[in-house]
Amino acid sequence: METWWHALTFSLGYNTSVVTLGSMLLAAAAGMVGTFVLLRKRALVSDAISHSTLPGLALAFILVGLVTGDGRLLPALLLGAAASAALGLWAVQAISARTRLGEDAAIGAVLSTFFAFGVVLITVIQSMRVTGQSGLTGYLVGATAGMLASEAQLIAACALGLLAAVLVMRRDFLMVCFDADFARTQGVNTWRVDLLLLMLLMAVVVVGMKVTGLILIVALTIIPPVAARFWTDQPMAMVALAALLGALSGYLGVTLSSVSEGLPTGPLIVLCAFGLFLASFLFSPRRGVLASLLAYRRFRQRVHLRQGLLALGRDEPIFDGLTLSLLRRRGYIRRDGVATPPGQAAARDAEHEERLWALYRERYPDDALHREHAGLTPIAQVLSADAIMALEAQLMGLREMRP
Amino acid sequence: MSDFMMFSLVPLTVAVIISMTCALLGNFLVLRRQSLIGDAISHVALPGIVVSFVLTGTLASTAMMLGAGVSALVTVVMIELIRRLGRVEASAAMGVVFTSLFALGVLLLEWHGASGVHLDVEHALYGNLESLIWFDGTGPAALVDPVALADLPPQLGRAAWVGLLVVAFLVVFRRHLVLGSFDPDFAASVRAHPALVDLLLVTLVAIAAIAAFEAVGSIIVIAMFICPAAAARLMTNRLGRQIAWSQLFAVVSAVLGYLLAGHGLGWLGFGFDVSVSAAGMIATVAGLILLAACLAGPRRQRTGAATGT
Amino acid sequence: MPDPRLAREVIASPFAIQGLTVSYDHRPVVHSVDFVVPPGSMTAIVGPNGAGKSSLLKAALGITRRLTGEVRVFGRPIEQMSRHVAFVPQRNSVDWDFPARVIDVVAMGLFRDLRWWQFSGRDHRRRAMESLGRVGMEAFADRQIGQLSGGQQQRVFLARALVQEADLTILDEPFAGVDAATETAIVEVLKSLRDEGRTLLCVHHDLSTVRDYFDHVLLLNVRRIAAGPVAEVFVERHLQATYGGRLSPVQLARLVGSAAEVGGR
Repeated sequence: METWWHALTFSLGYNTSVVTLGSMLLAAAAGMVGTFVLLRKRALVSDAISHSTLPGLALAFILVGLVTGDGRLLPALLLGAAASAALGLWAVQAISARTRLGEDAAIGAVLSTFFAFGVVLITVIQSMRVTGQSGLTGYLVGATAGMLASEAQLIAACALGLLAAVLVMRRDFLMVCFDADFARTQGVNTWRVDLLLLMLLMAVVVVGMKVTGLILIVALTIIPPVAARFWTDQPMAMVALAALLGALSGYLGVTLSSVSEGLPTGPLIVLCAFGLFLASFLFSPRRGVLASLLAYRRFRQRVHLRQGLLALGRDEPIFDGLTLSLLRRRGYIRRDGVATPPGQAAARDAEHEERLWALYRERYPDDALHREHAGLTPIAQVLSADAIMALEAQLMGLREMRP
Repeated sequence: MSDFMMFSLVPLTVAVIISMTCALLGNFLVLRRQSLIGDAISHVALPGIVVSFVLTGTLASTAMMLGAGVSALVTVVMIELIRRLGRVEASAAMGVVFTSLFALGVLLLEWHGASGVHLDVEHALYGNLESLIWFDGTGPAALVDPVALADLPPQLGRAAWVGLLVVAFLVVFRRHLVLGSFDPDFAASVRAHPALVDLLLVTLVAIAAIAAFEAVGSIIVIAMFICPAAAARLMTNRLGRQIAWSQLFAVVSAVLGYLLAGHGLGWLGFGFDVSVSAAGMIATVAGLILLAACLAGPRRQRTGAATGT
Repeated sequence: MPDPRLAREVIASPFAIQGLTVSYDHRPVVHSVDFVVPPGSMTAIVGPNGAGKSSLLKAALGITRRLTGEVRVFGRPIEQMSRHVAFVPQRNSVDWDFPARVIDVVAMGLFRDLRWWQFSGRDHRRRAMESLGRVGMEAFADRQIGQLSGGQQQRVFLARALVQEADLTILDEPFAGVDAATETAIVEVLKSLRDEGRTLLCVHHDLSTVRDYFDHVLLLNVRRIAAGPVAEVFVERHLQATYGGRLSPVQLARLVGSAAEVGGR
């Protein structure tokens, strides 16, 4: 507990602090890029990218290992990973654009084939006499524990650069994500913007691999944006929020992993992100599940009640169980389904209300179209007293005209 | 010959059966554009197995299978809940769920890693096809010797059962599956229960993934769900023929991949005889077949007025 | 036995909707719609974009969930009677790149007649070919569906419904994006079905042809605006209410003018 507190307050030494900061920056960048990718409806492209880094990683390890005897050279590994990720990305694009296969099949095929080939190469490495083999496993699930200060600095610097790049490009990204066709008419080269977005995504994946591992980095590009979506409808706010949630998960995850030796960083960061997502999913007042369920129940009851009352007023039989029980609970009908005096009064009110709404729709069709819920909300809550008086007068007039 | 019987017959047979089973289901995943559900489910087999290990303390196969099965169902339910209740796009919901569960699996694994059990992430990913040794398989006579047959690795029997189950499912529900894949609205209107059949399909994908997972690791599972079926899709415009092609591709990948893994580097003139991951090689071959189909498949383009007027 | 408390026209109707509400995002897209399709009629559902026409059909058929409401076929819940109803979804709701031939798609209409151990026999093929013949597509039976034009795709969908030999056929925008020849051919087939005593219900978007093709109409904009015989209901007042001022005076005059023409004939 005390260690965690030290980690949280950045007082656990220089190395840990740099790692923590680097992870936060990285997670923020991942959240931002991920938001655009999510809005572009291509969330799982990053899955293909991250899995297809493995063969490049392994090849770089083999080459460096053959030359120097120790394959662990972070810049070389990142370059190799980036090269094979780019190849994988190109393959996904080519398969989904030039063949009849959908993007889902392209992603699945590329990620499994590339990863499998990477696995083959790793088994080759295991039969070679090169040191630092265990370092490679760290790229699968992430390890910040034994990270060198220089490595942490490199990652932090890259993450900062990515963050800046996303900030610069945000308007173009947004335009293409929002409406690619419109963006094209505005002279935006959507193809190039898309490519740039995917390149940034790839960079995030490659840089983040060391921190969370290549299987889990995809989580950082998906979970924070999805969580942010629950709190806002504004794209830019969503981007900012995703960055914030990402950074928070990075902060919590990395500091938690320093509590006990050997706790893997990647899973902790991802689980923290998932916790934030879960809280958003359940409790967001806008789109959260609890709020939605309550609203749905209320809405359904209102519709049932209204229809039941109208049926009562017209003396029609009611079959629906929910309608019957709602009417009964409010004392509008007796056990045998016959309307009580309050029920009859309520039915008359409902009918009157319907008639007012119908008249309103007939007289002011344009206004009526713009009002959501028109007809279910009591008319007094929507229109001014004067407007209702006018409608009432017209209704009276109509009744006298058609006796 | 006896070497082959002892060391290669069972792994090869298991690989072929599992590849064919996964490829069969894959046809429908690819047609429904749900390929990635296979990806998601094979990732979550790991947490399922780890949780069952943490709970029971053993690596008994039944417990592992059960754990993986439960986690697959949990995944599917979670994805659907997040998609429907949270109104999150399907692929994003999938990404949220399987990465989180995978993270949970890895964390639990590392937590209990100190206890020195032979269970690690690499094993889960690559499988260990090579360890399916038939010690009594000393010669052709063993094939008819009940004592020797009883000693066959249990993974073989399980793979066979799952294969049969999948075939039975496809035969019984073939019309439901086709109808629900092509036109779910119409399927619902004739009470073909597309949603239910969907769930059954995903459940079978989970079962196949688990059976495969234990023997060959999750990578080969994803590859076999997608690559042979996708390649077959590029060969023909008839569903029956597509399924036949996918089976052929699955068998070729399994056999060729296995042989290449054992001897490939030697043939390539590496000089030293190393064997590489058979599961990885099988999946790689499947990917290469798909590559070939993408470049030269006779039906690789979308046909005619697919969406236009 | 249908519930004796039901109105007589509900029991006679192949499709009676009562109090149907469909919501999306806690907003009604179809609100409390009552509508009884007269037996043997050819009825159009007409309304502006987003008026909930397709939502009404899909919810009524049980494809999507309904918030409230009951749907009866000859007085019984549709869940028990779906054999009597054939549905033709929108053409662009499916992937026409699916590996199937024309005949395979038409044979999907036989789904109910085949158990899982049965294979479709010569008799089934004959019925499918007959349906294809009625829409003039028998020459295309073995063609890959991806090679069809939009109009041909629509005809294949209609043939699939014909195979079902249902009392009621429900079509969602059958004339959307089809060529003139196909439109005429489809109308002919639909009219021949009506002459056999079957009922047709169509979501229709082309106001100018409502009078020529249909005898009954439901004007819908989230709620039921008006319903009944075309001659009585398809008038300026109701159209204004349905389209909420989105029809220009010229359009209205043309529609109503054609009414006067028909009336004068």
